Amino acid sequence: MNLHYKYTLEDLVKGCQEGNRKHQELLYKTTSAKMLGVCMRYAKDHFEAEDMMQTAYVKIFSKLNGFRGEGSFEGWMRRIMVHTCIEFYRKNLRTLNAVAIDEIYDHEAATQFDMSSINVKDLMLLIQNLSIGFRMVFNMYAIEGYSHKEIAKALGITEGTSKSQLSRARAILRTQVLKLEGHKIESNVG
Amino acid sequence: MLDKEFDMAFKSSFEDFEVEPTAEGWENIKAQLDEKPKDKKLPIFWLSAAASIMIVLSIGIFMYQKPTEDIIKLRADNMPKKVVITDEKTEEVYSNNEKPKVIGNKTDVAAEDNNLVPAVIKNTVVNANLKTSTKKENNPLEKNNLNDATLTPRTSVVDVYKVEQVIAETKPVRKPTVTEKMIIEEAKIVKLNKNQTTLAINTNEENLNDEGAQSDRKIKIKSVADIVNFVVSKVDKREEKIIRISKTDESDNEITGINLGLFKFRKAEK
Repeated sequence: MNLHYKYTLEDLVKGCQEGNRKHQELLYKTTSAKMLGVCMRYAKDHFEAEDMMQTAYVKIFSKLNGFRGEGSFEGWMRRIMVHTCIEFYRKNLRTLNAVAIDEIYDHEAATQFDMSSINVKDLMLLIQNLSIGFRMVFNMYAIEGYSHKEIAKALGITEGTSKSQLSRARAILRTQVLKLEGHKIESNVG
Repeated sequence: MLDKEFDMAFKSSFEDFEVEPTAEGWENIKAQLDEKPKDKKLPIFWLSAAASIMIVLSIGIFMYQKPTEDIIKLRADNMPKKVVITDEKTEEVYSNNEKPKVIGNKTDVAAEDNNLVPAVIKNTVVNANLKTSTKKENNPLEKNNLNDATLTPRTSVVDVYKVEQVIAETKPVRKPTVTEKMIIEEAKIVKLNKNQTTLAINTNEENLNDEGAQSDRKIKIKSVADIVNFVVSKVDKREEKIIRISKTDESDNEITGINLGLFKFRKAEK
């Protein structure tokens, strides 16, 4: 999202609305890395994330006439990304079983960690390794800022489930982060 | 670390997180975008089916064009005959109406003549009487007679005028006979058409009971046959559609009617 992109965003959007392939390609090239970053959190791997992103871009280009310039274009694109990811989740849901209980770990909430020392890619791996339900709820609540009500509606679950899944997801992530931290410390010491 | 802080830590670390997509990403999207409009359209099978229907339709309509001319000609051949008959009838009617009038006029005229004649006679008789009475008086009387004579022509002129009026009255009846012929023709055609349409409606209603596809009422498209019937009914406004597919005992989609203008096929309905 450099200045040049921002400067020509209106033109790009206009061109894309007219179905100009060149403009569409340019829009894709300037935004895809960020959008893939969003999709990655919802996907189990890079492959699935790209699949989601491509589907979302097709939607973006076909729905672009519906964008009235309210709010940021990036925000609008992100919402489509997240919606597409939710659709993927719903499709997956039919084939996936409920979350195994042994995945849940309880940890003291007071444990301190320095998250900044952890590589984002590692955090991404942590999220991706969450079971799909936890991943969805955690992403939507913690990062996208959806309410439990919205999550419940989007995922077809109850608010209670959303809340419990969130706390479980957090618990899992805490242990994983701690492990990473410990690994870091070990590697630093070693 | 509180939950909120924990969430925020994740959020902030992912804030500007970017992952470079694979090179073929755009190509895939482009391919999907190019596919999209095709996806909206019917599959190739349906496209070909629609195309073939259109070809058959256009051929049928084209072939139907000539027969319509023939039909019109035939009607035109038939019509004058019928019109002639009706005209004869109307002529008879008119002649019946007119002739008495004419006769009446004539008789009236004759009667007037008869009236005039006695009047003249009477006048002459009076004149004769008067002549015999006084010669002086004769002149004015003769003048009177002359006046009478002049009067009688006047009356006759009036009568003629009346007759003319009567003729004038009859004339609009007579003259329009040519135009009325046309009107009657048209009326007849309309009547014939009405008869035709009523017949058609009857058959139509009969058809409707078995096959609702021809009607304007909302058709529930449930099968291929319904789609075909729907499309055909939109394009082909004739009573007998170019093609009609309906559910029969033998099969779900059976052609029960073909109308290629010259060639018509209709399966007998229950």
